Amino acid sequence: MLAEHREAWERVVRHPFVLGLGAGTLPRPAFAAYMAQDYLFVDALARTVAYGIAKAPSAAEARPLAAFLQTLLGAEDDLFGRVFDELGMPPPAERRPEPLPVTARFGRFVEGVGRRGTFEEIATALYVTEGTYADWASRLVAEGRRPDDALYQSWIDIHADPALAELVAHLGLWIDAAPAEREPALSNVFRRALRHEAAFWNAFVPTRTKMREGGHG
Amino acid sequence: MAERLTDKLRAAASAVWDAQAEHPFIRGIGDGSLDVERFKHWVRQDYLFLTDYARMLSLAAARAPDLDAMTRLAELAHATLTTEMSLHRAYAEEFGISAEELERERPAPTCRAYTDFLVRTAATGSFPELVGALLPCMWGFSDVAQALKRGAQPADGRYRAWIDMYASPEFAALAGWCRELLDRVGAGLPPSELRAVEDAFVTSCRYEYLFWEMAWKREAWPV
Repeated sequence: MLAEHREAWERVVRHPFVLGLGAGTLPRPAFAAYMAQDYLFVDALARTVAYGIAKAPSAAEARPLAAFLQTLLGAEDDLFGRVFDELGMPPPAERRPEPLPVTARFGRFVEGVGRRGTFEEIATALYVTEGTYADWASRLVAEGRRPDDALYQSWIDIHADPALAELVAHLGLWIDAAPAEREPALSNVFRRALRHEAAFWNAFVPTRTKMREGGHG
Repeated sequence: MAERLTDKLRAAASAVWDAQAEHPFIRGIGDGSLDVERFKHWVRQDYLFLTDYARMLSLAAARAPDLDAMTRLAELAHATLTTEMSLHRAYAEEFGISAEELERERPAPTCRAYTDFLVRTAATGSFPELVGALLPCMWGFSDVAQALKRGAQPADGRYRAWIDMYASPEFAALAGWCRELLDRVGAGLPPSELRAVEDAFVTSCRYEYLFWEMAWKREAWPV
């Protein structure tokens, strides 16, 4: 499935926003706008993971998802708090941010897969949302890109964590174990999730500030 | 101060609530007279119950009204799948039940009916209804074990350990949290929705009772 969607995947994991993050050239306001919206998306994502636990074939599949949900609502939620603090943004409870259309659409999509989809469909949606993050972050680390901005670095580090790669490996195994006749449905979820992911990054690329793509010129 | 919703629910379920404490299975744990084969049936079935209980908690997290409730419910699902299930495996071993035996076990009719009821309510009921169905499992266990703790303790250390686990302040705190959640999400509901919450609560209380009965009779599928 990854081979089938390779081009779209690459466009996401090598998105100008991601490269700007790695190079440290991404303007802070763009990062702040992205974080505020991503925080809203994580609510939908967490609910999707919870549906995945509820629909897991057995406790063996439920456990890694439950551990991931702990990270999402624990460490990642804490990081959001620290980032908002550092960016001088009031906490979300006071700020009450409105989701942009792109965020609302993406959130509705994943939560819809969670509510209505099969376990394998949920695994596929999460493979895209988590797999692209694990991939872009670990590539930036492997390439030795260390932005001067500590906030950007911590956002890279939390996604380059081996625990996330491990979750993605589990998701991959579960998707691969699905019967062949399910593949078109799963491929459809994969394609749509990638499209939402790309649209999400696109929404936060600064249009007036030219970024040096790839950085480190 | 206004009466708590959960006090009203408990009053509505008082007959079945009191019957739980009087059940021969519970009295047998308390005085140590319970046939260990009946108890082993409970241990094996309760292990199966935990997996579905985690499903229910996860559905609750997915449908939670706010981040705090979601976080707490997700923590509970995680703790059930990891700590609780592994404690349960260790406890089962004290009765000579191997991990393989636990994995091979299939749900008896009552275990199946109760978990199906919980997951169905979590999937199709309102959120307060879901919490109404969830609460008796925490509160009932806590209450039953605390009553046993106040009496003379059984000679069998394994039964004493069972009482200690569910009579613990941590377990009482969990039941207390779930009560507060239901008092909060059930506040100001119209009568028709309150009736649905009460029905879910009383039904779960009945299944709690039947779960002891299932173990007592070592229930199995007739065909």
